[in-house]
Amino acid sequence: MSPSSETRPSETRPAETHPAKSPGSMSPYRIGGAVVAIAAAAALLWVAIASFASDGVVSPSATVRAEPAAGQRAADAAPDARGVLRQRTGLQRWRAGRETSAPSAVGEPSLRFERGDRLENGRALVESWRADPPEAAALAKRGFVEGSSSLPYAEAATFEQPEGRDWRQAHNGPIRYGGGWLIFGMILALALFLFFRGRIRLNEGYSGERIERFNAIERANHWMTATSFILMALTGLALLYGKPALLPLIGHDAMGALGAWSAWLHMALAAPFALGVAMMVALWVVGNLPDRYDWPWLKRFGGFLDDQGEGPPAARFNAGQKIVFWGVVLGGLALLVSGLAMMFPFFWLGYDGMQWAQSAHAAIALAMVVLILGHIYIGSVGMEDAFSAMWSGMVDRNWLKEHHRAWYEQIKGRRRAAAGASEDGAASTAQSGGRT
Amino acid sequence: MNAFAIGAAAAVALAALSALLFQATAVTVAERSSPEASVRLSEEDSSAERLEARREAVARAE
Repeated sequence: MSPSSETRPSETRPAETHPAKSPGSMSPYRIGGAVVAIAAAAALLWVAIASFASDGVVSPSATVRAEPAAGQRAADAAPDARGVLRQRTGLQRWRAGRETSAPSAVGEPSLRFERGDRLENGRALVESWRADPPEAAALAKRGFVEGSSSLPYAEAATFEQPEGRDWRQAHNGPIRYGGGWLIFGMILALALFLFFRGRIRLNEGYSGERIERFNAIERANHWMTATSFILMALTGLALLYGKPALLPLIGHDAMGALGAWSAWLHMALAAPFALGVAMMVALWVVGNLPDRYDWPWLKRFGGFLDDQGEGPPAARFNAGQKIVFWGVVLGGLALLVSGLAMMFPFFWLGYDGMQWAQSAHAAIALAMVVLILGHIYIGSVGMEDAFSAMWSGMVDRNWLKEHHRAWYEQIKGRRRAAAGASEDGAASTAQSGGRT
Repeated sequence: MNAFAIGAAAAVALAALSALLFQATAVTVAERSSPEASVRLSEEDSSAERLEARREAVARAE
């Protein structure tokens, strides 16, 4: 979309130069950066301790006990439920033709099973499974349980799905802790950048002339997408981190309600987010195609590292904004596809496909949260006058000159051409008027 | 009204609309999962292939 500075006249406001800094003084932005950096470092330390302390073992909290049936002496019953379950597994393998010898009789008649309210040492139980050779082998083997079922759906006939352990390990380990590292790491990096670099200011101060950068449709669409994304990020994080981080604080009832609302809101907000991203593509894709300014801009990191001299030139969107744009478009598409696969379970994918979709959805969403944190930073506290570009649509002429010089030159050229045309028109009108 | 208010209101309105749509879809899923539907689908889904696999497994076990 072409800049709309021609359609909306530029505004003026009093010019303003920055007051000279007194030596040793620190801006409130830098102080804020230091405070946030300390908090983020503490959170990162907590994540580090949690990630290295946890080995990902999920222990059962309740158990099934085998009790002697009525009229049976305890000594006649099998020693525990595990023995019975092992016998049953053997029987199933024999029935499925995977073992030639029939197992010894299952001790079912002498036992009844009861759900134990509480398992004192679930971890020891899991470790005993791992240590016991036949069961450890069964845990490692894929496709161990096979048979036939007359249940109506194929998915209902899946009683045991060993890949679920891989999914749970990825979900509870790399994805959950990796997300913590990424989010708090990004917050720490941005806060340290703010503390050491300070806010990126206008080198020449405010000129007083305001030029339109985004029109009303672009801004409304941006805020629709942003509102949806932020709410989806919060509800998604509540779902991903609710059990380890929120459940101990708010209890089961509140967590249940929060989880149900989060799931509903998360799905419902997908519609405005997808529509917003589609409109962004229609509005901004041309401006976000690669151009000759991108590589020099990236090499100098946009000139953000210091206040010395002019920054590298950029057209309407610089290389950093293009990274955010394509990250949102491609990441949003991946989130939409994987999210739809989970919203309609077993419609397109089976268990393993949905596990992959869930893992990919969480990993891509966490990466997008980090990307958007950077976007929010540079569009608000990180850079002077950047927020007004998306709030009011107007930016100062010097802002445009310093951060999007190539685009500014285009606007200036168009204005000059328009002014020349109107002068020519006025002159020719005057000439023709003089003749008549 | 500024662009933020318009955008946020549009997001909420569209989310509410899609939630209503999901409600309607959820009814369909509930119907599909009802006992009657299970019986019907069980008959439809008991394909010859599956029945044959079951017969083979039983024959092996015997």
